[in-house]
Amino acid sequence: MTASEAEAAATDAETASEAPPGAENEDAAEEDPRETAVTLVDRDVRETHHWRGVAAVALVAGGLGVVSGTPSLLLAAAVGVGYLAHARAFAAPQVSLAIDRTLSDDDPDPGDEVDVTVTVRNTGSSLLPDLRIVDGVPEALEVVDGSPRIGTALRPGATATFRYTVVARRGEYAFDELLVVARDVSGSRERELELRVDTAVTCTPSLEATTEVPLRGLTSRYTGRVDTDTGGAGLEFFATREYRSGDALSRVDWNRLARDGELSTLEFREERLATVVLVLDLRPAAYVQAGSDGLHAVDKSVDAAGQLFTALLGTGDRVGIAALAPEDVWLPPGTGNDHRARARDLLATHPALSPDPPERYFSTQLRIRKLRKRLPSDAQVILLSPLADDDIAAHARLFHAHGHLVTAVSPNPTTTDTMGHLTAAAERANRISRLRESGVRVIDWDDDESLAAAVASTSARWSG
Amino acid sequence: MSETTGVGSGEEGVPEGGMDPEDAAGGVAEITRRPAKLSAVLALVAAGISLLTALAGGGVAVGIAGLGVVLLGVAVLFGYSRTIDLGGLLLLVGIAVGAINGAATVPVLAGTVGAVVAWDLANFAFSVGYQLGRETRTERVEALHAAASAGVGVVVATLSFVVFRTGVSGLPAATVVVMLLAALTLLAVLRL
Repeated sequence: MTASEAEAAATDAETASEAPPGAENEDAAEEDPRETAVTLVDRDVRETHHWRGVAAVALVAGGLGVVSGTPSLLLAAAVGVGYLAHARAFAAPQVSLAIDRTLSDDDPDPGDEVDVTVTVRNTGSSLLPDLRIVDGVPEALEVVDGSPRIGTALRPGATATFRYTVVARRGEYAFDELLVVARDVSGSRERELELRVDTAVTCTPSLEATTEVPLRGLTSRYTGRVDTDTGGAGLEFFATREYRSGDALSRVDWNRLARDGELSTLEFREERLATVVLVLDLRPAAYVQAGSDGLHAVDKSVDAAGQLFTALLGTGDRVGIAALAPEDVWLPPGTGNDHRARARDLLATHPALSPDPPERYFSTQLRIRKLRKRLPSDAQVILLSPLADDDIAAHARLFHAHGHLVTAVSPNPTTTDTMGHLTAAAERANRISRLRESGVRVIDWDDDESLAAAVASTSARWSG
Repeated sequence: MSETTGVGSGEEGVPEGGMDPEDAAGGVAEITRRPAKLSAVLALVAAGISLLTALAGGGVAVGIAGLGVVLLGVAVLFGYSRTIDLGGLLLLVGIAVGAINGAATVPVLAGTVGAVVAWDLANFAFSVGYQLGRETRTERVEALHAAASAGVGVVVATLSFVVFRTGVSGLPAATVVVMLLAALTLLAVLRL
């Protein structure tokens, strides 16, 4: 639970005598571990000129009343004057609020729903007859239930509460300022302020390995778990060959010697360690999604990268992370717990991996070239991309051609509800089959499928 | 959240050119910017009362006032803010025509208050509805505003009617006008 409390007071200069923070608010001290100063923007009092037209109408009515000799029209004009007096009678309200924002969970997993409860208390001494508050929900968080706004009237000491639900997304978000508009009862004067209540939500993917990663036969010199097509030391039978002097006696096929009198040596399939670099496609074209809600392809890619990363670390392989993004994203292949922590940090908080598309232009060509220089020669590439355009497919083929065997994990962002969407889906299917023809493995990951299921169903069809 | 204006809720398949950042970022803009319900209903009720009182002023008065009610209705029902002022004005003109035609004082006063309240609440429905949206709880502020708006009208109308009745009918009309002007000037000068 987190609670942030802010005492905010906006008063005219000569009446700046609000209560000290916490003095009036009994629950502030106990509930709030990190009370912070309030930055406050108090815009000038504004006249809304709402009643301006009434003056003119009242005068015209009065004039008509005199000319036509109708006393009731004069009385009607008096009513108008009464409203004008009402509009003039109140100064802009003195706003003094204590605001408390509580999250049901300030460290959620991506996709979790987080309830936000905002409690507003009038700590001033005057009635706030027309108070409109808009909470500063971080732009990336989608409000799925309730409304982050309220319109209310507050007596001194009264509280109002509003509650809404947002869906957590990977990353670190701070809430923006609350916008407060307070009007007097006639609505002729209003005061607008921005109040800061520091609340942050940090959403780190939990990096659970839920899937086994099928790797390709490009390996390092070290013993690991990737089956290779070479014979040597290992567990699984691979071939027999003619005995050469120097072969270990334990590898001689004694059965065959007994049967035929020929000396031969057993070979086993060598198992090696792989070096893998996960390449995230963060070009603007990758920010696509199926339907209007839920996670987009990049979100799913980053999520998948976390899972793959953990799974590969678990099997002892060396894993690194890179991205095609305006900022430099590079975690060289490595192993160990420190490496895992670094990856978790990078996936959760690196600005380039935020759910918003990059705003800056960047050259994919240059990024790819730089990446290729950095890749160890024995590294294979797992490309995480929705494959939504031809460029990325071409780059994948190039990687493949340069000897870094490529497996593409592709969240499927297509839908089939309209003609255009069908065309896009067909184009993507074509792209995938062309990639497969050129030797790139593609795991087509449907929206309603788990990564593990997609990997299992696709890799069952692969040979070797 | 049936209707949204502003940022489209984009059903994206695979748009080749990417998508709007706002779309990817989620639904910050997803509020229904329509006139607030309670104020809209109360505005129509006030306009209806005003129209009823216009019946005392004859056919022309009802016609003009009726047009005003229609314009106000269009404004608050369809979210078309431009006709609010014109609707309120026509309602008042209808009442005034009725008064000149010889309607009794009480219906004229009630009609005037009704017209002003209807116009004020319609404006309020827009300002609240567009700032906070339909999903937001705004009944409290709407109820308070409606009560204040109607209360001021009723009190002022009653007072002026009482003053009118208690034997000052002998005064020349000019005196009353000068008094009204004096009150207006006072308001302007005091700048409360």
